[in-house]
Amino acid sequence: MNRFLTIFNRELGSYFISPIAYIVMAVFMIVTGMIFYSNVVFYAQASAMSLQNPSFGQLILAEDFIRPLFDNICVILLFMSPALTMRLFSEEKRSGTIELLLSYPVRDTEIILGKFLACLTFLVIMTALTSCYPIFLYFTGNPEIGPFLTAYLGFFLMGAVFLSIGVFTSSMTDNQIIAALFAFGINLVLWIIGWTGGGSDGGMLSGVFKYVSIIEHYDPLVKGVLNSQDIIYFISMSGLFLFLSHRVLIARKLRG
Amino acid sequence: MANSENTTGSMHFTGRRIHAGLSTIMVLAILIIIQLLAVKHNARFDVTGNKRHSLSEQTVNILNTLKEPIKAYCFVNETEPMHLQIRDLLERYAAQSDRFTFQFIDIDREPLKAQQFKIDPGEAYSVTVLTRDTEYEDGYRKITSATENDLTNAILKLTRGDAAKTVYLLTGHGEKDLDSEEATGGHSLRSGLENANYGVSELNLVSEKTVPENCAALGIVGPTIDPSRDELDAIQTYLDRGGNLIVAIDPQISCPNLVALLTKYGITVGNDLIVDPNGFQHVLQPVIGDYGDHPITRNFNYLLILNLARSVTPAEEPPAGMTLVTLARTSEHAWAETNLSNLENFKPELNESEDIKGPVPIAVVSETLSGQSDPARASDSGSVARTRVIAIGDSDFADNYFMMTNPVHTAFMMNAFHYLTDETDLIAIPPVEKLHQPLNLTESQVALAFWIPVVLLPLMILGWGGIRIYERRKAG
Repeated sequence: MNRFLTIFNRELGSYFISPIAYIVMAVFMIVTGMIFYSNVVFYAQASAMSLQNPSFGQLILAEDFIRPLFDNICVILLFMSPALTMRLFSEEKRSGTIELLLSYPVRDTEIILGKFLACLTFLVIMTALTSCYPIFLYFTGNPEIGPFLTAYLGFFLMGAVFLSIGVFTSSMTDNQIIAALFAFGINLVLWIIGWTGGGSDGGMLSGVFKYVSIIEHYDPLVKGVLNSQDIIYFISMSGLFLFLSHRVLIARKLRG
Repeated sequence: MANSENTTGSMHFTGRRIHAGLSTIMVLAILIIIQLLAVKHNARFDVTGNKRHSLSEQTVNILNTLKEPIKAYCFVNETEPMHLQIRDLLERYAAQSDRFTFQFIDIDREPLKAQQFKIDPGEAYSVTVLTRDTEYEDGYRKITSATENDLTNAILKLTRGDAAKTVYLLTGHGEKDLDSEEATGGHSLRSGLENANYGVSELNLVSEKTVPENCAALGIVGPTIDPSRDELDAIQTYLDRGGNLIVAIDPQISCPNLVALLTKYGITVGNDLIVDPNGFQHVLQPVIGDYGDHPITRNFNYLLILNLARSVTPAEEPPAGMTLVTLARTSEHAWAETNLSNLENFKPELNESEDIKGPVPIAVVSETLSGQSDPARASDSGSVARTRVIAIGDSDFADNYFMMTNPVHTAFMMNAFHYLTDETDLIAIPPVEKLHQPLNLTESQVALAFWIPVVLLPLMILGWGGIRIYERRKAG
């Protein structure tokens, strides 16, 4: 446990040694803040129209505000997560410190989990900054708490999958750019693989593609629906890529 | 010796690679099994306040007892506003039952499919066709909305294989125009009935003389002038042979013939105006939340909003064989104002000796054996059939404005027609509680939504980072 904590603290601390972490967080806030602000303006205009015209229809914060907000923030995550993970192993490999790290009396799983959880913690810190959005809505409107919590849960779980993919691609190469592009490629495939036509009976392959698609599992959460199969999917996918990272490290050890 | 060590090392290396490969395959297999089990034993929780992403108990029961496959062909393109809504709904149905499947079809790419289902250009891009899997020659049902109520009822009708019943709506007396999409029009009523799989036809009794044989129910919604004696006779003849009638009549409309017809069925239409001190926007918009124990209003826990309504009361002592049930009443604070002499300076005041004190009945259903309201006619006809008559003291609540803004109004009207046409198992699924959460912001609040996340927080982050890095460099 101590060895795991050492790795975890070292990785998390490494984010904050350079200005990059602060710049990434600031940029993330600016971009998500702009999305939030545009949603506020749009929703406030729609609210004003609904007052003038009662047949305007329903306006539900969870459906018409929170859902598009989190959909857009997740697109940012798609692009940003490879940048957070690309250096995890690639940098160690490039500088040669990976051999030193692997020679320490520390298990491979502890190294992988330490790096992964440090990265995930950084994501959580970044996400915590967006808590000003629900606070704003709480004081100005009457949002349902449930969909907000499940949307955050969906964002966190999707982040966990993307970061585990980043850990995996970073473990495969000593080139950070390749690691980031490879991770982005896998993320994108998981994102769009479900776009294989509409319907519930598109055949077995279509069904498999839909199940593998990360959006198919994220969408219910951001709507306010908690499915046990979605939670299991996210945990399994994260576990799978962390396991594959472990395999890559083992293979490297075997090669000597 | 060296060769032997190399060979042993190589074998050892190969063995570990095989072990690594096998363990990877095993982990993948375990993960796939876990996913299959997760799908099979999924637990679903709808955390929204009004459970808007859950199917009603009625729908779940119907889907769980489906005996044959049902397939929905949805001709709603992705660019259409209702696409997401109908997809969400169809996915919930498909998740509930393996026997329910759906497919989206681009009508522009597959026009032949649209021809197979005889889809009119007017309903293209908004229609969903339900079929018994691929045997659509055997019958299919179309709906043009994305409501659970219509979809479930269509499934029920399809699986039962019933022919669509036809309801007729009387015209020629200033009734709601079924084609009008204006606020006061009746297009929503027509589309509601069509989505419930009724054939809807207009009936002009001046030219037709008789109510058609296939009329499952006759509606008179919002007349402004009285039907003639001949027309009333035609309606009476229809009722005597077991017909069903629904009348929605506004206050201050003088229709003595129609009122007399309703009186025969134990329903008294008051010459008054309902005043509700707790009215919706004003005292003449009574809010109705008190419903009678009847299939039409069972489990109805929602508010109806009327606009200028009159009392409709059941006879205190109905004739033998006639059952009268009050469907809806105002609150006890409301009353039926009978002094309508000076409406321009209308200052309603409860006069207990003349007015009807609340709760005031505003909708009544009468069920009787045909002919019993008029024994002479009964003996003429020789046969006895059941007649159902519903009277409502307002027609505005069934116009486009109220039906579009409050789905409870649609549910009430559809329930009434389902009851009249003996389709009680189609009684509407209570609509999900409507949620409206406007965000009425001041200019300073909108400015805060910009300055805090876009400027203040990023500056704080950068400032915090700058201090930390400066301190680190200073320290060492």
